[in-house]
Amino acid sequence: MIQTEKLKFTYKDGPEFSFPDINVPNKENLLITGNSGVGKTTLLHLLAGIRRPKSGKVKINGTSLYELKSSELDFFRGNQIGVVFQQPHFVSGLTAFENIEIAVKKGFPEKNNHINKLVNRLGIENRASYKTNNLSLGEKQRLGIARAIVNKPQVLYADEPTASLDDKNASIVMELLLEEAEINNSQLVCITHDQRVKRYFKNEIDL
Amino acid sequence: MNDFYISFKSVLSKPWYSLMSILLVATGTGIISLLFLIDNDLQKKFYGDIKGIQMVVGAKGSPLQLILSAVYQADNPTGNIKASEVKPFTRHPLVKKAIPLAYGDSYQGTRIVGTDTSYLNLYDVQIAEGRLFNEEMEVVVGSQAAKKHNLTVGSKINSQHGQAMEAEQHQHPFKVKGILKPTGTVVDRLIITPYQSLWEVHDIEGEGDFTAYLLQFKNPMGQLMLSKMINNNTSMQAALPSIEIDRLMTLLGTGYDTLKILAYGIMALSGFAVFITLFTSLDQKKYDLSVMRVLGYSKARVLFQVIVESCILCLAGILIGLILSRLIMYFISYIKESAWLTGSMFDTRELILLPLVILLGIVAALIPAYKLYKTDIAQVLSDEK
Repeated sequence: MIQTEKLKFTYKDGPEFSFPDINVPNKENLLITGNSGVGKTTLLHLLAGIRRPKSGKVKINGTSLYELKSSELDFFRGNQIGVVFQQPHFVSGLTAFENIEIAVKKGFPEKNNHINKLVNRLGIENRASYKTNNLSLGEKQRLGIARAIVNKPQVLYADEPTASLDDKNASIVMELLLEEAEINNSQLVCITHDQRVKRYFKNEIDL
Repeated sequence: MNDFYISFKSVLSKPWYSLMSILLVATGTGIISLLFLIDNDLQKKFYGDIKGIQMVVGAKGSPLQLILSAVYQADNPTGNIKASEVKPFTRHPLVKKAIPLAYGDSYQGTRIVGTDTSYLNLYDVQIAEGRLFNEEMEVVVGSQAAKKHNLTVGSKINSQHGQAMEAEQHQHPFKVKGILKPTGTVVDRLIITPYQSLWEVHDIEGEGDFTAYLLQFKNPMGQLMLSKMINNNTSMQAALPSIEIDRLMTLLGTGYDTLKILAYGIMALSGFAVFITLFTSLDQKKYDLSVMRVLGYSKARVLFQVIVESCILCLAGILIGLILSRLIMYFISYIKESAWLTGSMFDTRELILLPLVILLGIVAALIPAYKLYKTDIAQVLSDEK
């Protein structure tokens, strides 16, 4: 369950963003849309515990993110939140497999087996030993998804996952995200200005 | 995944920058290590050749020259001393051992030292081939000298007056009776014969002069007493090897210290190179570490990785530096077959290099680590790469 309350954020010397309250029950997904500059990515960062709000609360299954200590928030984010970025970011010196491996939480049972199954399911098993800068954009996006869901997070955030993709690839990525969210019992929150994505969601908030 | 492994992969991801840093650290630590090893060798050599000799009695002149010529066979003698003048002191009840030396002649630049078997016993020599000398005009040859002149048991050699190759040759041939095993001491470079042989070569009948006497005492009082007596009441001088060598090492130490300062300067420069390596890769690193922060890594953990990366560069540098210094030592002692360098492979002072280099790594990483600490991860990940 994802809840926000009177969430506000101000950039230094910039505008103040006030976001509508969000309340998404368990097992339901959410689409957040809006034009450029309305603060979609800022909201995602607040929801994921990457940026601290000026005021307001973000709760995930009852855990109020910004009441946690910094180290507790890091731990919670690593274990319970997955983020798929618009521009896939990876640790440059590591292989595709290792980039997933660094995300796996401590004590995860049969870690390597789990990662292997994941890369197989996402069709990047032949690229597992590649450096990430040798992957195509599509492969990078699937790798980003694999890394985001490797810990079976409670929430999976996706920031503009279909931007710069053609219709065919956009629908492949969206179906993949929904499928993986379902397999892992994660709630999917997708932030986009792409109107093609609307048909995949029942719940929508327009900023 | 292990943090050390991630840092290690980060080092590998920018091979040229990393190599430059490693080589600079290796140069600094290598030079320092080499200085330690050479110093260790010289100390071993200088103090090893003394072998318990507490006093050298010889003709008046420079005490250092007397020590260098009598103990190390590395300088001209200060002159001769009369047997009648020195004998009362060699037979003094406080003297434990007195070793006669008569030298000044050579064979193709290699010194011929006249003595008795007590000199060979002092250096614990062992015969590799043949036997020790039994009578006049028989010689045993040190291992390096034998190799240098291709001498074997049965060879005959004619001595020359002094050290010069073109000096007048004596017409009394010496017979090589034995080749000595290497001892790592001055003996390896010498041709040794009974001292009477040198009197015979110079056609001296009866008892001739000596060049020096090496003395050991039963107690320190003897050293003090005889030293005063000889220096004040005779035409001879008594020189104390340990004091003269300490003086020599102090003189050498000035150059050694200058080189050491230079090497520490290179090490500081290498620390700067590590800093530049980390600093120039900050942009890339910001992305890497921001990704890791999103994946749940704490700030402390990612900073630890930066410091580990710096330490990996420094440790690789010290490892290569230590290997290089040993290769150079081995090369010098092998090529030169130098009697002065025995190829020391360890000096305890090198242990200081390890904490020093780790400290260097940590200091070099501090500013890059601080900049990364202040990085706004959301901002980095929002920017187009």
